[in-house]
Amino acid sequence: MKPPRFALALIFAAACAARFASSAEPRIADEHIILHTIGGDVVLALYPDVAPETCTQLLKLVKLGVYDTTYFHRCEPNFVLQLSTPDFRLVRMTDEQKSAIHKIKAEFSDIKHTRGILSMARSDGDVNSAETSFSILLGDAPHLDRQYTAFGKVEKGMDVVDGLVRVPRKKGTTEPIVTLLLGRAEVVDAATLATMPLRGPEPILVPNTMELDEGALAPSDEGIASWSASRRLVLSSLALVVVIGLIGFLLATKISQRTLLFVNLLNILVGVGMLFLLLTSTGRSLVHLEGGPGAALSDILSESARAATLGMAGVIIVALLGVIFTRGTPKMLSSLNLINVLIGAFLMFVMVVPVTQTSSALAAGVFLAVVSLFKLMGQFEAG
Amino acid sequence: MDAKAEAPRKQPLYFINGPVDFALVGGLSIAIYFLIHILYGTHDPRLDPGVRTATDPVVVAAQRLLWICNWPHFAATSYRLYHSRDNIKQYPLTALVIPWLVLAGVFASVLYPDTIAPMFILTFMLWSPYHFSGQTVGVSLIYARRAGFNVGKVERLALSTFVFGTYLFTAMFVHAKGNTLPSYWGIAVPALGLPVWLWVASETVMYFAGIVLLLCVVRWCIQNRRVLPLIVLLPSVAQYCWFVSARDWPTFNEFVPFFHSMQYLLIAWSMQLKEKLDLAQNQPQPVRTPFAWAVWAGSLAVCAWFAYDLLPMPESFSAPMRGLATALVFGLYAWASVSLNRQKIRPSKQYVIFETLRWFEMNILFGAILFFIFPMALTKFFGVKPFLALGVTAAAVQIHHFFVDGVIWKLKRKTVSSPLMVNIDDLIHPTSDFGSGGMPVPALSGAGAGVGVGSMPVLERKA
Repeated sequence: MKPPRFALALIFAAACAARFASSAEPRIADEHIILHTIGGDVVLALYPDVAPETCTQLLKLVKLGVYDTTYFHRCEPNFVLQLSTPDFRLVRMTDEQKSAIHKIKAEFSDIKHTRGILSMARSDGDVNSAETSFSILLGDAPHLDRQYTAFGKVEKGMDVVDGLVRVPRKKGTTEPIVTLLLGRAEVVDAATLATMPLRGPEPILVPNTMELDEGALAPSDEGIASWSASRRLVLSSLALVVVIGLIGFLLATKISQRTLLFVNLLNILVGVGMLFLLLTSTGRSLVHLEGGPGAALSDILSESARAATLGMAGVIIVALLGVIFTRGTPKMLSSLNLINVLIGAFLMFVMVVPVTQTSSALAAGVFLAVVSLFKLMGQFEAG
Repeated sequence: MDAKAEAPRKQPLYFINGPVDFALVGGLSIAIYFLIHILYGTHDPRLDPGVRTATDPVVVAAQRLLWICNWPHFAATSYRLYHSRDNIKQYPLTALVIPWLVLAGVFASVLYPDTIAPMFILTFMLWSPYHFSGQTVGVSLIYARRAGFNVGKVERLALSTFVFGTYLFTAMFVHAKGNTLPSYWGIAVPALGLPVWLWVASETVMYFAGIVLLLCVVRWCIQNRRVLPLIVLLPSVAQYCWFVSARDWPTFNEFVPFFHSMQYLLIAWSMQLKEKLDLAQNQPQPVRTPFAWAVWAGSLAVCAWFAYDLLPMPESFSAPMRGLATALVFGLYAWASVSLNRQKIRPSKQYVIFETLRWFEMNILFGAILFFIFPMALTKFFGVKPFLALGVTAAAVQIHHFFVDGVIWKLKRKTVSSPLMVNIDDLIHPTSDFGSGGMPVPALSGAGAGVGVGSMPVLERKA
């Protein structure tokens, strides 16, 4: 028996209505949240009818400044960009801010977790454990539907979000190598938003290591222990420059001019040796990686290696000055050596700082060395 | 430890007078600290959307003060070193080699903005509060000397440890593991990741040194039956307020460079006026260096540019009217500048007023050249990104300042008596021994003598 046509029409209409109902966008609140991030401004629209408690609480927290100086600590392209909890923010929270934070009940809905949707983070075992942290969806994630509270969407600034996501991450983690800072979050109404100039997207500068090896161009979090022989050789050469400079500086008044001449010649030797290393073997190893055979020298050497080359040229020039002015005053000769200490120490600083986060002892050593150098600078050109 | 008082003291305690000296060397900073605290409570107004309207004036005020106080203090240092050939000859490496080294840093930072620029800026960020500490110790020692408080080894050690302890405390807090640094002109700067126990240790050492210092002061007061003038300890207390109490208070921190600069300008101003008087007595026709001429010409050019570009003029002004107004302002400035340079150099109120105006006007304009024109030129002529140019230039000028400041206070001139012991009365009232070095001549030993680079001089009595 054929079903009556009107019944089919009814079923079709009901299906369409259901489809329409599920795809219709929920009402957007008049109050919007603007995230002023390191890469520009992102405007968030909230769904008060879908997740009323979440929206109310978030607006309250933003108004109290709870999100200020937090950062995006988790970045997984095509999945989520997640904001840290304010416990780890740059500026400590006030008591009022702390007391405003509480757990929010889950408000699951039919909203699909698609690109641009905002979704509250929570503990794995407790659906009612959302507090402050939320994610911006970077792609479709149907497995999150009805598991996490979706409460709004990115209205403007998805290009800013994409810029943040492009920042490289630490090796083997989802943590970006630079702090994707959320300087300030604020609440504005739709009328104000319409006339408000928005920032971004802006480029984010990413620090690089003095990377001389094939492989990672971003700072690794493995520490110095994992560095290749060439990097360790460059670091050792720089350390040698610093030690020789320190000997020349501290003993300038106590050793003969001939010995001081020898000290400066030694620094020239180390400088020339390192230049040779930088311009030849390191260069060749990078040809394969970056430039290809026959590439210009500037293309062959990595940015950091070129900086080291420049620094070593400086060391050689200063040491040459020390040789030329061998008959100069001890004050001048010792200070020339101190300049070489500075150049060598700065290049070491450039190499080591990107990995100090991996070792507390290394960080402490670098800091104490830097302070000692500042102290030593008090003797620069001292009579 | 020798904590005896000196013989009856003729030396005036203050450079100008009590209230002004108190305000400039730290009193004003403490007052502003409490004022902001009262106005905004424990909230940081910059971070609290509820009081954003009240925040803007704070930030705007701090930015304006950069022009009239912070930048001129950098200019004053360079002026002091470079305006005399004698000074350049005393410290040839600092005067002639260090600028090239710093320029190489700028060059490398611009060429390698991802590798060198963050480290160049981090160097400046680590050095800057160290430099502040050196100055704080120096200013304290100047007032101690003026107050007749004989600073022995223990007192000096306690003072230095306390003041530099505040530096270590704030640096270790900022660079503690897990902390992140705000970007500097958009340039991401990494934190070192120091272990947290170092921060706690530095705090302990700082407070211990503070207690020892206070005990030394109490002992001195009991032995000498008089109270140590508070101004001796004021710079240290102010620094504690800047670095410890307000360490994570961005709104207040906006002003800290201004407070530091005020301290500096008070001393530098006194020295400038006194040295000029003494030199005029011994060398009536001062020889200007090409640098001094260049600064003067540069200041004229900057004034012309300011007048043309930045003067608020009604939109109804036609081009000729605008040109006329520019010429008028520039002419007035040039006339004032020439007039100020022609003043009679002898102790008088007129001398103090005009020389102060001349010195400040020149430093304000030279400061603008360093921090404003230089980065603009980098952007315009070399295509450097504006924020990168601003950040790197600001770091470079300050690093150069730290170098120069390390030697500037060691400058010795036989013709100069004792500008660090000057009081405004010496500048206003002619005395019979004007210019002959009537006051006791202190030997200046520089920052290296126990307080580090970038400090004001440490005064030591000659045997």
